[in-house]
Amino acid sequence: MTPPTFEEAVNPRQRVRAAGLDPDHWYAVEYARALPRGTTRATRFWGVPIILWRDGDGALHAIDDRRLPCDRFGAPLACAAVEGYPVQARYGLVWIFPGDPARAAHRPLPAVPELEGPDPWAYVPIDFTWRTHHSMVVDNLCDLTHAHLHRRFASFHPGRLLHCEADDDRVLMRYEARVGPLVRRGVAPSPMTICYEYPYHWASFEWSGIRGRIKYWTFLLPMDARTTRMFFVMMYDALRVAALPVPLSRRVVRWLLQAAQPTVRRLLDQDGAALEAEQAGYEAHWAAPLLELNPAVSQLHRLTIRKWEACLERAGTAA
Amino acid sequence: MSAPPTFAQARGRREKARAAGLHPDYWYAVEYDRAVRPGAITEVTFWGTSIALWRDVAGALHAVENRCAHRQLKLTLGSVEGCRLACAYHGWGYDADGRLAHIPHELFGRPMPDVRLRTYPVRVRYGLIWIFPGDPALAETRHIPDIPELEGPAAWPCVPLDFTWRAHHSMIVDNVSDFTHAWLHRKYRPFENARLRRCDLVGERVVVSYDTEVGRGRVSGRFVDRRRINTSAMDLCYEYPYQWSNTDGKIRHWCFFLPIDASTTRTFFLFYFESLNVPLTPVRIPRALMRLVLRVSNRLLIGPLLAQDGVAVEAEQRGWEAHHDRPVPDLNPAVALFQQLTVRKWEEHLASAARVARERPAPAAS
Repeated sequence: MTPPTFEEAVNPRQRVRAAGLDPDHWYAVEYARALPRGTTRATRFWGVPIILWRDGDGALHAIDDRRLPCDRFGAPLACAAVEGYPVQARYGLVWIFPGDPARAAHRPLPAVPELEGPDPWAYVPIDFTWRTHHSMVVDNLCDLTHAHLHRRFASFHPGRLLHCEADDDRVLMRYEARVGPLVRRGVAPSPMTICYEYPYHWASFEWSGIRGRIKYWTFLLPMDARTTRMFFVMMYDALRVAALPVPLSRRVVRWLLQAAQPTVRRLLDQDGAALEAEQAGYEAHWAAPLLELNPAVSQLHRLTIRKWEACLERAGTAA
Repeated sequence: MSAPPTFAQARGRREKARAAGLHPDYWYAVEYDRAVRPGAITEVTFWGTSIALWRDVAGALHAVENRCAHRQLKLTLGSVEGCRLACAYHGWGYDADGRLAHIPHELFGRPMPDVRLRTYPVRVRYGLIWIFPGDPALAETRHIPDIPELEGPAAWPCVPLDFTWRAHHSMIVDNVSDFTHAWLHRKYRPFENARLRRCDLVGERVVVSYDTEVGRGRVSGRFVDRRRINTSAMDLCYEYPYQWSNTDGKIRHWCFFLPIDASTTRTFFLFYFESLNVPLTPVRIPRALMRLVLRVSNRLLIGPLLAQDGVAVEAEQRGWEAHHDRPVPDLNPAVALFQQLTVRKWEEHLASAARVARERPAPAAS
């Protein structure tokens, strides 16, 4: 038996695992550099196939692949007059607005001032596509009780939830945790703020023992009910290590981060393996009793469910 | 083309046999004892149910349903931490009784959840790990088959081998006990010119006797001591849910089936010989060398012989899936008895499962 639909769901976990993400937001779908002039890319939003392309003038387009007229060899006719999704490039990413195009102008992209201006923070993009529901990814990013998964990495130690608050559009959590390359027993935990700012996620913290802020955003793309692509945008201010006489400039940080990229990827691969296993486990045992300890997780689920209900209601009214 | 019928839809003996499971209230061989080292976990599947089989650092084996109660990850993805089995994700640890015994992160002011996963009785015998997938209360009353030749100080040498084939277990039962397929093995000639002398279904056993020429292979036949062993007849038995053969009490084997799912079966073959001859001489191979000889013969003779059966039953499975509605001219009456027993035992299981479901109060919707 397959897991229940959103309408059939009888408990919050079944509901959140069946919920989509509200299409009336901007979603990162691709790296801007992955779309040179005259190229196309395929993606999906909640099951709808989408073709992205950049025309010869450099303008980006995104269109529902099912409506796209093709020439007789199957190549899209770029000049065809089919209304596409609103699309824009920012922060090195291509963003589309899969919902009602009339709302696109009123809905801002997430504000990432750290990446703009003459001296942006060091920025390392990394992305994954996992066979998992987007709400499982949000749980993973916001619930730090899974330190066990990363126990082989010395850079992540259990966090403690200090505070959790929710409003209509976000869940804000404050943890204290020991993270970063200098973590070892005795290093004081540093505060960490994590936010599910629907439908995005960000975290802001310092590495234990190192001064200098780190902020990362996660932009989720719900490709379908069990496939999620995510773009991690990790940004680092200049870092000041106590043992060094001068702070590490953003240029040096950028270089260090490039070198650390494989390690970061290995760490996140562990999350991917766990989340894909969670998806498989949910599909096999969705009727099992609920067992959640972290109160933040319930808040995250409530927000995703409420947003999806509102979205369905809007769609119902429009119909 | 329609899928083969389910057991409930099946009409007729053969359709039912091909849809039947094996009754879970028996002991099933699932793995070699030596394959699960202390600290190791392995996944075992019995008729679609996934079980985590693990050995703690003290050496004790445990079998538990393969899911963490928290996020339902397979526990086989986790790790053995001392005498607990820990889930890979949040590290929730389960003890030998399947009880949630350790959570390595804060509990957010809540009490430790009172959770117990289903565990399965486990035993080790004949170098194999056995699990009882059915009602645990019956585990003590059921017995792993006694094979006196394989135990004690004078045990006969035996080197088990196993295969996992994409075929329904009933096809393998048909295959190992129906000697009309000598054609398939014409290269190795393990049995020839078989004539069925008798077949009877008594209780939970189908006993079959053939007059046949045993072990006529060009190479394998030279190891058989024909002066001491009567190789002109063989007894076989489908001793539910196992199968064995016996040639004059001197050449024997058992098959233990693990029905992984409706079209996948793992079979453990245990051949054991009182003695074998040094080829072309009347000299018996010394006991001390027998294991080595068996290991080589598994590789060169018995393994390739059984691999032929694997090819055939896998092809039969595909043929069944494509043509299950075609009439079947089965000639050997023993096959009808095997299928009859398989069907009857599965009906018994379904009836007792339905009785348990009726007696148990419906679980409250959470």
